[in-house]
Amino acid sequence: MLNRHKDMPTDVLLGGSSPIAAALASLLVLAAVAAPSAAQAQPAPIVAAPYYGPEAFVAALTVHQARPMAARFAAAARDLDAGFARACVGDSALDATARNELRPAWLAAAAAWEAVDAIAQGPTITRRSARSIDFRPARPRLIAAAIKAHGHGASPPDAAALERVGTPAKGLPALEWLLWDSSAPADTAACRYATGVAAGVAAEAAALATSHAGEADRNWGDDGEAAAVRAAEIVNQWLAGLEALRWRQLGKPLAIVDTSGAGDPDPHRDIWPRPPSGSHREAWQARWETLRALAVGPAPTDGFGPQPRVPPAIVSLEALLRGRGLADEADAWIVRITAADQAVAALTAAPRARQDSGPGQGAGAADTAAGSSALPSLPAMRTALQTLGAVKQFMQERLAPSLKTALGFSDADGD
Amino acid sequence: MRTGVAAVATGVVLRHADALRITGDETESGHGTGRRQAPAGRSLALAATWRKNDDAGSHHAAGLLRPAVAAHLELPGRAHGVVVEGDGRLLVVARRPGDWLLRFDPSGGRPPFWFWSDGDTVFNGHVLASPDGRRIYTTETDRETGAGLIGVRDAATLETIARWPVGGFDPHEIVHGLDGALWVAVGGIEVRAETGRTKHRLQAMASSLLRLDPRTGHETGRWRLADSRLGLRHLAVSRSGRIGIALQAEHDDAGSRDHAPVLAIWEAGQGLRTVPWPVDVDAAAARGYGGSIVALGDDFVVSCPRAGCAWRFRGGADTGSGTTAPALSELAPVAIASAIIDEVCPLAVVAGTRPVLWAGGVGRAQQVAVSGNEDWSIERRLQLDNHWSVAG
Repeated sequence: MLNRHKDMPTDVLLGGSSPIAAALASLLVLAAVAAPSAAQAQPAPIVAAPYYGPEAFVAALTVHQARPMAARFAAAARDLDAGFARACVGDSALDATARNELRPAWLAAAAAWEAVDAIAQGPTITRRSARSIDFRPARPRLIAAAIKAHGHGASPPDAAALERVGTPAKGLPALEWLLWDSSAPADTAACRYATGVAAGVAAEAAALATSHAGEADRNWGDDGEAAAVRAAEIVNQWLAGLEALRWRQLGKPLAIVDTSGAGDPDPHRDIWPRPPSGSHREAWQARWETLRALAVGPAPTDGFGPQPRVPPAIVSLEALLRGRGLADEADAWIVRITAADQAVAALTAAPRARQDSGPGQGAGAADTAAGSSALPSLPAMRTALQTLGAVKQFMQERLAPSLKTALGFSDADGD
Repeated sequence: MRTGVAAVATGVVLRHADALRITGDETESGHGTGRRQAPAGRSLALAATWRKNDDAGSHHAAGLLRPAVAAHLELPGRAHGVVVEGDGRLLVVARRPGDWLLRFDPSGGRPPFWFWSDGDTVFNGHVLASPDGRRIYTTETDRETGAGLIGVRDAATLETIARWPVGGFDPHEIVHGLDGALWVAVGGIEVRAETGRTKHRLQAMASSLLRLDPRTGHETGRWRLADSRLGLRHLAVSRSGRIGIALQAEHDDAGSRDHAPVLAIWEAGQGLRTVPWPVDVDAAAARGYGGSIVALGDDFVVSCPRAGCAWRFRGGADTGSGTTAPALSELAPVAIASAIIDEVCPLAVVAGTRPVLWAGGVGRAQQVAVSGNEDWSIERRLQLDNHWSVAG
């Protein structure tokens, strides 16, 4: 079916329950922006923009993004678990050598987790994975108490034992503190406790990967209503992931720095994403890459002929807009995403502002091989904050309404 | 039902929109003014928070309106509750899930003081100062467990002294009752740190009105409505000590939501119950969403921003000077401010022998007074947040 722009579907696109699967293969054929002049003999180029319903959108995301990302996290968590099991065998302590060996595995697992959590949808929400393995900030006092209670057995604490430990003393943040902070205990008990915690992270990652694999195998076309609900959740959680990056990981720390009147910010304060390791850049980058991958990108199919149940690549938010005849909105969206992309890239590329980590902190210059301890410049961070804010505003005020998606995270809703 | 009440129950709408056009004029300070200003010499100021969009993006701020912006401070995000302290400073709290509290001196005499959450809890948007000025109460949510809490804070430092459980999710507004107790509207909707404002398991929603001993935090009473999908969120205390609660309906179907009551009343010896819509009032005109509430003598006024109107639940013909609280059955709704203010939400009352109500909305404030009318026009680009307070 070929439609002109004026025939753009007007049903509820992401939040409704209409059988939109039938519209999957529909096309919008749009005239090029510039109308041909009288002198031009050639007709205006035709731009085909396939229309995707929620079933295709969700199927593509679960197959091409959520499942592989969860699998990568599971593999990285498994490596981390194995590393701790090797390092902490017998009466081994978590000494400097062990820490240095384990840090790259922790950074890899943390980056893989950040990528999954950036758009926390489906099983990531229902399992409450963030709460169980990434509660921040870690609480050193609680970790020390947990080591005292659970680190002195003959073997690492098992899942049942760790059930009795509060989340601020477990998960990736607790392991980060144990691996980087010089004030963290390094004895056999700490090593044993950390091994149990790493096994817990690996178990959660494995369960998460299994759940996401199940979601990817699901035929979303069989349940259009569920697909519509999930599609709306994904759009909402994209915004939530952006807000976590924009405000929690960047804006709030900057605001605290600005309002405290302190000079050069300390990268190991709890206000930053990963205080012990100082690997803030890695956190920002991993999160943004997931968000960007869903934000922009070409339509994965040309829309002609029978359509696959699962599109061969992610259906981006840009592709959704274009499929609804909203080329101008899509172009404006790209402008904002591109600006944010450049600003976030500058965060990663910015010269290291400082190399020391101050007294009492374990990372320091010597540890930068396993995570930078420095922060980008304040202007670079402010620029990133501003561009991410523009993305947020566009999403709230133009993109989500265009997709007829109600936002639970909007600045505009009541309370 | 008394005759006077029956008369207002027909839904009288106070209309004088013709006199209230927004001119969009700019003052010297760059803020729009209306055709009519507050009388010369009048010192009324409203402490408010707002969002302003301009070419550089969207900005949030807190400050004083007279009605031009008399003082303001840019905020890192959207605020919700604002309280005027005895010394004129403002306490502003971030909208849930919030991570900051701000003490702001609009006179500029003292620098702003920011208090950032320690990460264990998030703020739920409302703050209350104790009568003796020594404590600050904040409604909060434990990030790990999701449990609702009352944060008891040292008024000078804003540091936490104690945290009192509220036995449910999502406590929202907290007020002092005339009985000296603390009253808390417990929204009862599960929210999670990792999903922000997303509502979970609405079918298990358990909203309640909670009374606490202000010295110990011990629960001394809890009441629920029969309809578990009515969320109790905002509170006001009438002259006679009744508690008025603005409701927000969370039913799955739009019909039930739109026709739901927006006011519940608690009264000693009577318990808690909703105030139903009379048959001759189009309940859908409130859209089942009460955004703010104030007491006006023995009346309650509930703003309904989604419907673009406020409803005054009146008990008598002259509520400003009456001495006897009307029976609950006699509270009857009167639409006010409709067709005058868009998205009306913030409400405040100027105390006095004849208390005066100020209602705000998009672009203007509308005074709806017992003894006459006065209006402000507020800068068109300001989008007021849900609440404001009289600051002078």
